Amino acid sequence: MTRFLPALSGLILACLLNVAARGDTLDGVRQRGALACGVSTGLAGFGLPDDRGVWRGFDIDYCRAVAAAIFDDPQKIKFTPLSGKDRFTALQSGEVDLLSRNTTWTQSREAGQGLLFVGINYFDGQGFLVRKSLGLDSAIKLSGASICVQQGTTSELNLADYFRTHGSKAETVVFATADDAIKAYDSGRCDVYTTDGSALYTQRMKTAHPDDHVVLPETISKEPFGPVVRQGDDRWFNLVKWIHFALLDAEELGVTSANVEEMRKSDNPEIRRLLGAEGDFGAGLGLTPDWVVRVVKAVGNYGEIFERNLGGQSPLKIPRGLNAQWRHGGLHYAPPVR
Amino acid sequence: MTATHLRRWAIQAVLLLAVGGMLFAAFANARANLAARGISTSFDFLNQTAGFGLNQSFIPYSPLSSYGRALLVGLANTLVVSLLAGVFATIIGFAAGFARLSRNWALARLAGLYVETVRNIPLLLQLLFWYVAILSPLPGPTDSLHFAGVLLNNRGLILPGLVFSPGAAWVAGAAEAGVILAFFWRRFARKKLGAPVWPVAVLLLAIPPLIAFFAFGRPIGLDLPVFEPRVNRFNVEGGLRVPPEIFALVLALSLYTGSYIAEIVRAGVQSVARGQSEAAAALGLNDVQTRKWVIVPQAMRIIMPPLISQYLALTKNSSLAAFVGFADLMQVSGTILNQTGAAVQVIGLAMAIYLVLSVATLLVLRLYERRFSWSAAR
Amino acid sequence: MSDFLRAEFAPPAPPPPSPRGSWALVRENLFGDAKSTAITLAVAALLFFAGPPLWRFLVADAIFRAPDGALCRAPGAGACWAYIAAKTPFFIYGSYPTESYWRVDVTFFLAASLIVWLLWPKLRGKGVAAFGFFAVLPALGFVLLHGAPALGLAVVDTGRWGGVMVSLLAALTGVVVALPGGVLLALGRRSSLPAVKMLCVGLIEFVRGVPLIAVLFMANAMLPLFLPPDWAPDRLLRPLAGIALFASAYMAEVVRAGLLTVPQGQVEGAEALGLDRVATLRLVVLPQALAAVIPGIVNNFIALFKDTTLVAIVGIFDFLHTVDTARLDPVWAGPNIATTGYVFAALFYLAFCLAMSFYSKTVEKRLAASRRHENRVQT
Repeated sequence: MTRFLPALSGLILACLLNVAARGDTLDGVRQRGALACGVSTGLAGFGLPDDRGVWRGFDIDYCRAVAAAIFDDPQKIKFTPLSGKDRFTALQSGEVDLLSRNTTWTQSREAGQGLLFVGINYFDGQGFLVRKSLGLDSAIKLSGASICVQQGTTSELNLADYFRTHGSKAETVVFATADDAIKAYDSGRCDVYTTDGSALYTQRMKTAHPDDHVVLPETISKEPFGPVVRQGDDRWFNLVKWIHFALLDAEELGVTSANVEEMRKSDNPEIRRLLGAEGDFGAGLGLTPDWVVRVVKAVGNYGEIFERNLGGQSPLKIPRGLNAQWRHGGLHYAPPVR
Repeated sequence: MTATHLRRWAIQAVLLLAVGGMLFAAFANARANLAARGISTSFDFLNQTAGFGLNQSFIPYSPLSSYGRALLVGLANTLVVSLLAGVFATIIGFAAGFARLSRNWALARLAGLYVETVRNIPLLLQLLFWYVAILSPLPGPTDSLHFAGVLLNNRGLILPGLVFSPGAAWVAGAAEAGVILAFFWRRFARKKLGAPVWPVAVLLLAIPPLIAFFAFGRPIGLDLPVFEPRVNRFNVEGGLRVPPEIFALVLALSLYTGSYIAEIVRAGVQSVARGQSEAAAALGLNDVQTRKWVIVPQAMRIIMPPLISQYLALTKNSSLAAFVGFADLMQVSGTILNQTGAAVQVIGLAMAIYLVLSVATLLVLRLYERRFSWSAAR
Repeated sequence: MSDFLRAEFAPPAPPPPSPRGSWALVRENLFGDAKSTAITLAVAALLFFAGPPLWRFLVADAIFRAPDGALCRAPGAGACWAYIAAKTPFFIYGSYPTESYWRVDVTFFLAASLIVWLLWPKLRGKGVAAFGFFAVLPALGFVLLHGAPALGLAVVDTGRWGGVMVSLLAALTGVVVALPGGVLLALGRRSSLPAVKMLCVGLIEFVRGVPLIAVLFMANAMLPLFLPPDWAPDRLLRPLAGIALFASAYMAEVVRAGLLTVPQGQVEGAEALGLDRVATLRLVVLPQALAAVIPGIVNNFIALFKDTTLVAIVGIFDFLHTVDTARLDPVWAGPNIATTGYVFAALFYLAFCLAMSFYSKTVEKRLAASRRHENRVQT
């Protein structure tokens, strides 16, 4: 046994050093004193600075949730606006710890770029915006129409596939930027405007009379958005993932930012486990047991985040649709609190 | 080697070293910068899938075609628009040039007003005016303006199209035969004074195709554009549609270049000595004959070189299509540049193509000068 | 003899119609023959049908004063000049801070004075004016417009410059660089050293053979690549460099034409007087060459001024782009705003370019007169 001691200690040392060298993100964040969060350059509803320069949005609130879990202060964040081209290189290089930027989950991004998606926090898909006056209720009746779309996007390619599958034809009018496309749609150059569902609501606000336009019910593609972290740090991956699940669980169990303090004294064992009154939900994540209380107090549960940024309390007024809880016909299904 | 020779070679060597050094440094920097951004420096991207659609293409193209094909589409668009605009500009330019020289004071002033106004307003402003202020606010397909089978709405100008059935080839053949017959008749009739040249030639041109047309059961039909909500409640069906981008571009280019051509024509005609028109009048030729047989042939020698330069300028000005979203060569290059980041290759390619066009035009000019300077020397 | 001679005088014919009377002028020019009459009537019909609606739109129904776009959106309203009045500071200065407008005013007043000094034949001290225009003005202009914290002038980011200021800046930069640059290129093209000649010819033909948009793309996208990363050129500087290069190539051709008009005898005479090559160029050849092609240079400047509108392709807010983006303001949005804006821009460019054309024609007449005088003297 003593013969193997040097080798054994060397191995243990190597393992420890390896863990340290893998860049323990949580320790790095604690040392820095702020979470480095990569966000969009400016997308209403998801990530946009207001007139006083304070960042607000759905993705921003996710960053704030993580910061609240680690520091108990949702303001301890360093925001880095990233464009489509440099968002992944910033995450890979360590410039940001978390990318919260309505990024679509694809295999090429995960495996091909050494990243991990922690889950889906917004189920999006391509849709169509038309004038209410046309009286259309379905995208199948769009045969022969002119459709405005931004050049070079997946929306353009999905469109061709959709109409081919349905055996109808429509004229695609491409524009260099999304703003050009919505302006042309508003001026009557096309009958329909198409892009990702969430962006449809954002762009609708840029028309002259937003209430004259309606989003058709069809969703012709799958665009699942989720926060992204680097590969190689399992603890950080689990931390962000379970914060996301905690937000969903909190909504499912009825815990809101208003009632979280009294909910700590609730009789429901699941709620007590969620809020750290009993059990060890969150052990191994490197956080104190009341981490969910801090998160919900800072940003609310998932439903509150959605309503505030994208739903009824915002100008966008996006219906929950696929983003509702599983009990209400949506796709959000978080693992139980155990 | 004398001191002068030495000095000359020394200066050239220093200059070449300096320029060469600068170019080398520039390229080394470019390579380093591109590598840092992860952008390739080869032309392989030309084979990659483009992934973007183009609104107008005269050759088959889809978002699954390659970047190289997209550039070809851009080039074809540039050439077609330049050709169309060139034809209209020539017609407008010659008409305005002669109008400006007319003895009718009202016409001369009106043409002068047109030329002076259009020449002094930037082409981009005129293009935006036609596109944004005139064509975009047109009504939608449901309330299209129509005139003699032509529809105009904010989605374009829709002309009646032609529908060809199998017998159309015979009509085309008959038309060709008619052209050849008319050509030979003209040559024959010119030698005989008093033979009716044009009436017979027109008959020869018109009758064979008409006979073929009716003999083969009217193989060429008109495809009239019509807005029929039951067929398509969104758009006009049928006909040949000219998108508003092309319409605005051709219109603006024609009017702008036409004004420059008008000035060239005016300068050319005024350079012909007055004595020529006076002698023609003395010989009993009327105005039209004087212009046709005496003035214009002599003026063309002065007009041709700047005219050809104007056509080249027109082709280069067609690059303004990028401002209205028409997929010409520069606009497609810009899109490829945004998508791949391969700035050096894409812009280099586009510039090379324009240079080839430019050199071709210069060669045509040189050929023309060489051919016609003989007659001037005599 | 008497059968073909008149017995008495023939009755005097009435005098011919006076050619100088105004009614005769009208008759001859407008109604000379049937075709002319038809043309005159057609033109009159055109004016009759197009004139009144144009007048109504531009003057009679136009709104001259309004606090916002409501009046302009009313049916039957014409051009919205109130919108132009409200936006004029934006059109002239872009987003330049209001308290620093004086800096822009000083710079362009200085530029205008130097240009007048250079071009007015009667004023002396052209050498001083040239030095001021080509050396002092760029430096001073840069310090004033961009700002220098050391002198207490706040730095104004080039992203805020816009409007007429940027258009004039681009045109002036073009001229300030193109005149010396064009002269150098033209001299290089005439050089007997083959390397110099080929380089200059290559550069000139290359730049003249491609559209200005391509040169602007090249300057905007490739210039940052060709320079070391820490030299990142400012986003306004890149298209200005492109314009300067483009203008130099065209100016080189104009100067070359001018150099060809200087007779060889001048050079030989200078040689006989013992002047070296540089002095010959400076004192004998260039003054004559440039003076001979001032109309060409002014025409080039007019074309350059019109071409500055193209910098909008790389996102620079020149005057036309400013007018184009201002029409998107929701406060003023309306059906006539776009047309009003473009008419205003057209009037601005027309005024500027016609003024410069007028100057160019004046110089041309003066040169033609002096050349006729020369020709007469030589014979």
